[in-house]
Amino acid sequence: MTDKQDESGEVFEFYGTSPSNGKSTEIEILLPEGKNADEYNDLPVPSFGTIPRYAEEAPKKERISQKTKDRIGKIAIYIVLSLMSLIWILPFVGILLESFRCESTGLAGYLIPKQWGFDNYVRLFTFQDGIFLKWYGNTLMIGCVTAIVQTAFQLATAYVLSRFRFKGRKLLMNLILVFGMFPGFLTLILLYTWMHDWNLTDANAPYGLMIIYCASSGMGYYIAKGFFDTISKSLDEAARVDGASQMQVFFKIILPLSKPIVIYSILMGFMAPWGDFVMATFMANNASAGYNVAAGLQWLITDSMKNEYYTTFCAGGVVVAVPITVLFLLLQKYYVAGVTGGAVKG
Amino acid sequence: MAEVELIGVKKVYGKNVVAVKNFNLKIKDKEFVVFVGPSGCGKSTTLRMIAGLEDITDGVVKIGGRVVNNLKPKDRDVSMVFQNYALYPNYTIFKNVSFPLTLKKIPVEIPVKDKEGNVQKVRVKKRKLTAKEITKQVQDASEILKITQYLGRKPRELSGGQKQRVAIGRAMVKNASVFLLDEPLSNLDAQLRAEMRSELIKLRERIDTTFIYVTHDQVEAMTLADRIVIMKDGVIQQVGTPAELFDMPANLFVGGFIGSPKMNTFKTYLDRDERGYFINLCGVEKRITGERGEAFKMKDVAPQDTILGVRPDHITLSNHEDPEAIPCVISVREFMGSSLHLHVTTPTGEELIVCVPTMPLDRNQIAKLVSGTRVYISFESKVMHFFSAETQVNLLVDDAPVVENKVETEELTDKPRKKWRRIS
Repeated sequence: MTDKQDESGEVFEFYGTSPSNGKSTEIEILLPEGKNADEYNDLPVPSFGTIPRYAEEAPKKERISQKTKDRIGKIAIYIVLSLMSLIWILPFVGILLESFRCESTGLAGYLIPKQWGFDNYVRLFTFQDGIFLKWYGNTLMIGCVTAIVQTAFQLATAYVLSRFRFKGRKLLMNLILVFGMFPGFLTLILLYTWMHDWNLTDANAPYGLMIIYCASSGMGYYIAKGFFDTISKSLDEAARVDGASQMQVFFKIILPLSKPIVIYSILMGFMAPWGDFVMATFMANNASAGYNVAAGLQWLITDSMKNEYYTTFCAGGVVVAVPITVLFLLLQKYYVAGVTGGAVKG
Repeated sequence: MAEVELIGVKKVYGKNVVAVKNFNLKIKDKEFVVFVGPSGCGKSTTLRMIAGLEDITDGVVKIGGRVVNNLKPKDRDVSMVFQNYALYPNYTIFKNVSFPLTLKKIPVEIPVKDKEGNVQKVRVKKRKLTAKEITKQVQDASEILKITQYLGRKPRELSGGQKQRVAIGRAMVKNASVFLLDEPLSNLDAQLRAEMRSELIKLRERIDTTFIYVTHDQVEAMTLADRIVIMKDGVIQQVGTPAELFDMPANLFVGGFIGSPKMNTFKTYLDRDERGYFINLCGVEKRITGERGEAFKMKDVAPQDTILGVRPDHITLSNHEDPEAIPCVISVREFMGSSLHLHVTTPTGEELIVCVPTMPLDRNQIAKLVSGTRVYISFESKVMHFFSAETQVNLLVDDAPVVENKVETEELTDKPRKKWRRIS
């Protein structure tokens, strides 16, 4: 700025005088009493201290060395952990083994089959004109629809609660949280009455279930909101200033960043119907065509059926586990990122 | 390419947290204005109100003569650079920079012809930019900002300085009439900040538009601004060129905020006799001569309690022959290389900072200037700033805002406590 104003080309000269008064001033320095000037004549070398050195401590002698102690502790921990995992995995192994048992179909007192074969699987898909396939289809349909609808609702709810500030926001969040804590079957009878009125029970139960699952899908917004909260708000703001509408901000900026949470929502929406037993049994109301897999398989081990169908039930359990396991293995890295996304800043 | 005008703008959060009070400012076309002030003074809030990211509680904001209070950010013709860069992490640098262009629509005039081929009227349609146009603009911007080689990378692969360049590039391609920058250099380290600062000055000549820049760093404000708006507690304290703010601070706050190290202050009494105005400082009578003395006479200032402000760089070391020199004892000595910062104690026990350039001193003199040494300090009338002890306003500045030392939170403490604690 100065060179623009100073077009005359004058050269500023500075002669080592104090700039404010313009005249050369002799500086007077008075040393502290009892000191003479000679002490200061030799320039003191600035001292920055020395680097402290610590003597290495000699290792103490112990009766049992630290290494042995560590090893004993580790062995103890591994024994406990192995026991726990054994208890946890036993039912799965049991079902898998029993599903291959050919010599009998009822309950047996042992795990390892004497005769191996796929008889139970064949029977699973063929008994009662392949009703198992009907159940499987029901559940698959409920799962797919719920996954899509629930994801859409959940992400929308979470995004709004994360980004928008409106009257009653906190109240709404707390209410959803509190309602979410009530067990679902509290409203079971009421829901059944409604669905019955609309003819969505018995054989039509899958459609009724679909509505029930989808209707409550906003409730699970919390994890997705936690995830959105970690995405810097200034991204939204930058996009808005750049010319994006609110919709474009969500679909072009936020959604591509939220892959883990989208996949997590889809997975949760898809999985829930496979395991729901209480609601599904109640809605189907003994009409076996309206069962989902959980309700159907349970029917196979009721007292009147279990002697004939116990091993079939085991085979069904394995078949049900397959799609979920595959899906889980494929998407597990997203699943973990989704669950922890609320806590870790991305 | 547009004027920005703020008339009586006010921002209130909740019910009684006032962030900005009655903000009036007219920013000229192509001017570089810096909002500066301590954190929480409302400077960012004001900027965000101009951008449309924050509601305006009261008042009017005009951009290019158009009232924009109820327009969305995208319709305000502004672009903005954020403190944390706000780059889209999932896009490459190219996509980041081109993002505003992909959303932009430009008007196209389509002549409507009648049967004889005469142009009847011109219809204006809007179209999106073609990929070719976008690529060209991004290339141009990235050449100016030297980010061409990073266009294929993702933001996380860039350093802070490079990220900020990209953010500036993204704001640049939009070619908006107002360029808003919200503390763009605060996240960079000191060296990079100085580098980017000089680059912003160069860049400014290429982007010929109105700039509004928010910072808490007075150095950035002084070096970049055509005009500085200095704020405190949501109130504008002074508006002026950097030189005006430095030479004639409107009140004690501005005096203390601009300049480093901070301005020294003395409590004193401004007196007058037949020879003119004078003060008594540590037993030494200082006559106020020159332009300051003239100005006091012109304004006919009444004798009163004042706070005298003198910048550390304006104090010089002197000797006992100088009748107005004050003898002091050095308590702390900070060697800065090109200068010495001496903390000295006056005979009346006041602590001052004196900046002594080391260039005119010889090695022996530097060696002697250590704690315990006594020195004479002196300063001239023209570097003295007089503030009213009562209102802290500069005695020579008309209608300067009174510094309020009110604590805002006091209003809130009387409220009854909430019974329910919030979740989250």
